[in-house]
Amino acid sequence: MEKRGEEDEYCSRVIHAQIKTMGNFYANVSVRTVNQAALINALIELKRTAFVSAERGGWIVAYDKQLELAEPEEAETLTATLSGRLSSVAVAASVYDDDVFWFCICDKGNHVDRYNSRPDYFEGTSSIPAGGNVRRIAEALPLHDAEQLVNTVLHERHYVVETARHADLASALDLPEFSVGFGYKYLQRGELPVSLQGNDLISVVPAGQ
Amino acid sequence: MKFDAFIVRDDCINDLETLSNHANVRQVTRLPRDWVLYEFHHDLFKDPDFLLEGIWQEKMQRLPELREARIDMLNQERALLAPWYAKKKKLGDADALLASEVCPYRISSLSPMRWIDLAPVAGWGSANTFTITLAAEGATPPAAVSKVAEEWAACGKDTGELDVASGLVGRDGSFMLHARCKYYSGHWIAGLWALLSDARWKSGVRKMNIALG
Repeated sequence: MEKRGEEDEYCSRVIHAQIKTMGNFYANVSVRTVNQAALINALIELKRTAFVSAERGGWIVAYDKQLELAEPEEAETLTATLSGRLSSVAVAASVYDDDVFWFCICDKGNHVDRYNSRPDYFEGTSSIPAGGNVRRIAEALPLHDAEQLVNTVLHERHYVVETARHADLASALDLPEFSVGFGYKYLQRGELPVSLQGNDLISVVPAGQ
Repeated sequence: MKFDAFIVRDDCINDLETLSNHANVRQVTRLPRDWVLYEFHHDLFKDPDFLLEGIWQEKMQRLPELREARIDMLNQERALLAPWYAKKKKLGDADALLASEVCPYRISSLSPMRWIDLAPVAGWGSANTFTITLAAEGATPPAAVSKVAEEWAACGKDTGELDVASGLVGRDGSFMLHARCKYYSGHWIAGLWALLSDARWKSGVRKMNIALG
């Protein structure tokens, strides 16, 4: 059994990072809008700390700091609020340790659908995915010919790493690729999606901080 | 003294006796609720260039026997965790890594972990006295937190290494533990972090702050 080549380099990086967990942990909200200023204003009014991406293909992604620690109910509340204020569709997504993929979709402030790849994960039992009704999703997002693909991604395909499920779903729903694999914490420590430059992100901080 | 520290659920190792009898393993501590902490020592740690960025790789390329020794060391470390390696799904040599100024802690579990946001400070690995503040949901400590903290303190007392001055002291929705430590404080802090991050008992702790003194 020989070590992987990157092991030693990894160790030295860890000394700087102090803490490293092996799977991906991130959360963000993609909002279907071209109005970046409106999204930023909404986040400021909600006293959120976040990075906000540039618009790409009609979507803007908010990488909200508190969202990364939020329970699903809190995440849904933020998603519905942003969706309502922007009068548009918002998709919150999170990945926990690459073991659990969760998302919810809201349209004009109304809940459309939610999904959890392993709803009983923290109970230590295996379970089938919950939610992810393709027809409901199609009410908010045009799926074109991707309905079967979305269903396969959410309910049939096995993923060792849940970020890969998120990537497949984002591709099928035409969500921006930079919504996959990134959250506030990763961006704050300098990691950047390939398709974004540093100046494509705007930092939102509540007044007084 | 440099070494690697491991904090693992006991189903990640073959058996405790094999672990305890391993020539390079020291300081095996049975933590509460199936968790085990141990140190792995090796002559390579005495090399002043060990894992130094930009130097170690070059040195290993230059000295094949050093590379062999490193591979042997890693194989020994990995053999002790054979059940975990056999079942793990993610890349890497642990489920989480914590680095103190004393040693890196590799934490492994075969069951879900709800990792607590840990805010370590410089010197947290070798402090004589430290205070842990747990930010939890609700105004009183969740029962699981109190119980785990109690068992952790009792374990520390049994080993003669840890003296927890008081139980969980609540203040403004946070809960504090003051402790005095004879051996490495990092062992106990990282151990409590793993214990409270174990998803089996839903500790409800969101953040763990460390202050020294």
